[in-house]
Amino acid sequence: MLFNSLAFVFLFLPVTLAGYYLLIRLGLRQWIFLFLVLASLVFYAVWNPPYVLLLIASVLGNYLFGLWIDHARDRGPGRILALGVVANLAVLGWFKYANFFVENINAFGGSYHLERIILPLAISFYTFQQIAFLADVARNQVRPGGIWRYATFVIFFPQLIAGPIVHYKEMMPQFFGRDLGRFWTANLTIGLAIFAIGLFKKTVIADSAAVHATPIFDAALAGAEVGLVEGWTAALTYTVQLYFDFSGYSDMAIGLARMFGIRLPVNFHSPLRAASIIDYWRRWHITLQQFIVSYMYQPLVLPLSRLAATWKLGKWPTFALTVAVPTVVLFVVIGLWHGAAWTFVLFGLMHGTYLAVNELWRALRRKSRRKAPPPPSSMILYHAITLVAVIFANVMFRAETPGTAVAVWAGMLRLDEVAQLAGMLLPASPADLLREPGLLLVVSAALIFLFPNTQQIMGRYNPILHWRRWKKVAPPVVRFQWRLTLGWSIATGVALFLGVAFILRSQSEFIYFNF
Amino acid sequence: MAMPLRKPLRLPGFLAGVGLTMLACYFAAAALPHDGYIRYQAMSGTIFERVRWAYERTHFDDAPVDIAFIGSSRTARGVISTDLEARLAAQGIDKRIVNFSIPAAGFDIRYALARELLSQKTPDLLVISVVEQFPRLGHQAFGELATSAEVLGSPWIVNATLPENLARLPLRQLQLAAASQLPEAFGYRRNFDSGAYAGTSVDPRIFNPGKKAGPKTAEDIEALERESRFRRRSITQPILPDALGWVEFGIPRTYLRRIARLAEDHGVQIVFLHLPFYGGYPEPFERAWLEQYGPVLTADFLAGDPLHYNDVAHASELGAARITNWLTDELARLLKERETSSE
Repeated sequence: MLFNSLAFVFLFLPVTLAGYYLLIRLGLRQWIFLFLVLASLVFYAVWNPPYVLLLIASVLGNYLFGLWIDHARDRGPGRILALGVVANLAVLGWFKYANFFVENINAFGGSYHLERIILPLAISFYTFQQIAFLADVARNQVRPGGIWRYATFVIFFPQLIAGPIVHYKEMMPQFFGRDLGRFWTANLTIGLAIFAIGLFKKTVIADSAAVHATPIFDAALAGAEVGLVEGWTAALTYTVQLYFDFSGYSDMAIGLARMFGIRLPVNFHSPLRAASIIDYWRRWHITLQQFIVSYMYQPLVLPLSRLAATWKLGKWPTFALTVAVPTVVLFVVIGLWHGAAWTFVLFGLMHGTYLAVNELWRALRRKSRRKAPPPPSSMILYHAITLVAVIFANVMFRAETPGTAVAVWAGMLRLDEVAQLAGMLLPASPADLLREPGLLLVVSAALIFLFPNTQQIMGRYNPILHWRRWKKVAPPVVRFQWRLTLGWSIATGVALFLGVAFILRSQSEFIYFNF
Repeated sequence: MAMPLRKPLRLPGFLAGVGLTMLACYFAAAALPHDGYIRYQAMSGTIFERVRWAYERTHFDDAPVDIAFIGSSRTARGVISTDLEARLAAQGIDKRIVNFSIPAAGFDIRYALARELLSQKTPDLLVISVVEQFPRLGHQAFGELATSAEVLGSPWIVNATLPENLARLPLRQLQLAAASQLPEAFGYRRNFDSGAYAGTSVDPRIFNPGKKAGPKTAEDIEALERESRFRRRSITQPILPDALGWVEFGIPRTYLRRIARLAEDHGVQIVFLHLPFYGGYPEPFERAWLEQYGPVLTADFLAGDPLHYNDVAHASELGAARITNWLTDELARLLKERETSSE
């Protein structure tokens, strides 16, 4: 079921909320988790009922692995953990990558046949979340509770489909703490406001941007030549689409969870305001980045650092072995996590390379940075380079084939057509204001670069887990905060109205639902 | 003004404000003015594209409409208004006949089309097509073609298309209001273009050419028989008792009553036309109910001959010619009766 569907907004959500708070009100807390699990399974089943069985099997399997690891804690649970991780990756590999693998083998002369496997919705997210759980059990950071608790943690519908990737230790105290059900009207109101902002971002802005981006990418895929204006239109409008689609989804997930009194971790914090790719990845898909650092990067870098020390490598060879290589490799893996296609591999390679170069630049500039922070002119340049690098990589992320991305890039580099760029922002007629993307891009840019993000708007009400850590990150130029006033009541109503009204323009999936 | 907006609210008051704002926005959007021509142009690119011509014929063409057909694809394919007009003229009856039929069943859209027509023209006869059984649902394009007031005034009991029509209304209104201001941005025409107009007398088949049926083979006839049996099986008999027909068939009955009232207000006579499918029923099940508003003409002679059909529901050239012959006499009779009664 889509968050941006009328059935969800007007039927599933009100019924689930009513049932949830009724159970709390009646003192039947022991049934809450069964209720939430069943509701979440219904939510999931609307997409493809048979795959509910896979989800249930995955939850049961990982729960048993969790118990096993916990049981073997004193004897060293490394092998069981490895087995659990391999089992998860094998399932993910089969459903997500088997077709891709066979296609590529066949491209090199193989003749294998494999029926098209439907990618189970959310499999990448719930697999990573459960791997993190197994690792946390093995690290003695959490202990498995009952099966319903565990199932609620994995399939709680606000974060099931596309994250945020949550941790057992973050979620369980909220579900089982004394605060459950307290301040329910406040949570409902704050959650509704966050949800309204997210829905508005998705249906009004992201889907509008898609109207401009999609035809150009489709034309490029069909072999049409892309000019400078079309190239930049495609790249910029897709960047806007991706930004508001994912931030809209993240807001909606956070808002929905808050309606149930649960705070989710932040997943998106004005990444396009970053002055470096390193900073960008700290603010884009934050929970995935944290997963990578905790469960992939650190375990990989530690032995490499030992190796570098053993081999007595110099400064730059050590940098290459312990920073550049693992970063690039991991980002290729992350690219592939997004989807089984060479475009995602190349997208990962691009960002891995960006990060490695960024790390190298930091290492080179470390001394001078200690003396004085970069001047404003340098900061502007850093922002611009980061933005352009992200926009170019987004083209690869969106393209169906690497050739399509190259065609769009080639269009973006048609410098002989530079005079036409003015037409993109300056409408020739009033009709162009609606027909061309200029107005949309200007408004989107203002929202992205100048205005507060959703957490900042809702900052007075502790909107996310660990809000204090994020409070001062990426401060906006224009400042305002949501309050319980008549004005904000009207603004929330208008945002919710437009968000709902635009659902029926083109009810489209969230981009991250495909991962 | 700034002070009341900054007034702190308690949670229930805040939530009530959100709800009231949404309601206010909804009705404000529904009330947004727009050009009806744009609304009809918005059906371009769909199988209902011909409604733009219907609007142009009604609003921008001074020629009268003396007999109007409003129905589904069966009538669109079966009633060749140009031939019918010529046949009546041969009998000395000079009438402009227009077939406004569009694909798919649903009496709500017939009401919308009839209301648009009667706002500009006063035909002698308004022929509404009916099939074997009243459809339980509204027409899929009603939410797009009807005015806001018509959408909001839809019957609320057992109206499966209503939630979507109501949900779609605000966005439709926003789009139509914007398109009325800047039609070029949406690919619409601001003004009527006589050069692009299909004309006063139009063979309705130009909108839905269909396939040219050759002589029927044994396999064709067997296929028709199969489809006919399937269609008979597909008709769900009334589920509720007669007394609750107003619930089960609330949508068609409501809109037929509204069409009848509208016709009465404009002094227009209503006639019902039933073109059966191949091997279908000789008359509509609700004939008695329909006859309280006007005569029911049923082309029961069609149903037994496969050569009358292109497919199970739509007339062939031969079928259309026979319908024209038959309708010429029926309409001539009705027009004469009308003339006599008005004297």
